[in-house]
Amino acid sequence: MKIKEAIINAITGEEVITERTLTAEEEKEILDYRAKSAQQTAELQAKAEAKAVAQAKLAALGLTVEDLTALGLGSN
Amino acid sequence: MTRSRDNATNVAGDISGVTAGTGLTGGGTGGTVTLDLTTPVASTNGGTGLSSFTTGDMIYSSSGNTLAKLGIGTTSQVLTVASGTPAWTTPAASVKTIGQIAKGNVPSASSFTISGLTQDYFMLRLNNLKWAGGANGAVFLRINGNSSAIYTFLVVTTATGDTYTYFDPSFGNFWGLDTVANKKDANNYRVIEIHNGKGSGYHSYTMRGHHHDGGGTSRGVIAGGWVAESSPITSISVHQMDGYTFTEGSYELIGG
Repeated sequence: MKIKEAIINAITGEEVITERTLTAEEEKEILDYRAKSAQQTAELQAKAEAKAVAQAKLAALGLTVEDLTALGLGSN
Repeated sequence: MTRSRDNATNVAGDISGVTAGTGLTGGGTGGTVTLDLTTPVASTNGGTGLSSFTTGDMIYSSSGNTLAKLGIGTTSQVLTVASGTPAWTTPAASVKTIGQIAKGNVPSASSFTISGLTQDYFMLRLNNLKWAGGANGAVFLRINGNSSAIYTFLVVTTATGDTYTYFDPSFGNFWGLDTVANKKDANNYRVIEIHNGKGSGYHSYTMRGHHHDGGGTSRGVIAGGWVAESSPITSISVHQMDGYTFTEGSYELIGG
């Protein structure tokens, strides 16, 4: 995997962009991060969707999250 | 008519002798007559009243017609006034001012390094607005290329619309958080202040994050930590966590 890296000289303002190939360790770190990030995003989206479904069910019963909280059944 | 005279006999108008007055020595009544000063010429007569000097001496009036010498000060001293007379004084340490070092748009790259920080800054502050790019806007910073990094995260929940700004130097803590990105939001702003620990072995930092959702809701968070780096700060680099390219955003580095 190749990445571009920029170096900006604070004094002259000169900007130089170079491209280099990541080391195997760097590449693994990045790929791990991407995988975990995607997994986390998916989990959060699933959690949010489940929350939305539960809220819809509550609404159908004429209840709110605050009602459940008042009963000590959790919080929003 | 020729007039002759006897040199041994004075006539009207002849000088019969030179007498040394006050402050003078010498004189005489015949031959080569020499007068020398025995005391310096007084200031009221155009002199200084002073008889010796040392390199760097300055002359000033210490009281009315009395002149005095002021010996040279030491390196970097400045001439000031003390009790109505001049005096060399060591200036107080200058007040550090904070000024802009670098500013611009984030380059189209996975990382950017601000190099050439040669001044003796006590503090550097990196402001950033909308560091967009990558999957979730997470970046980390390195000082002098040191592997001890500063991790910053700016995360937003997409499903509920709630927005959280979060930092943690501990990489692992990120995974429990809601995700997604400042790449979608122009109102995310981060400030990272780094104390230049110089030879102490550590540079402490404070991070502040601000987010405004554009709809009247603002949130902020602050966090801090340290980076193990013993050298004075000469460069600060910002890296996309996932290696993707910055697509937009701006930065400003100030220091003092």
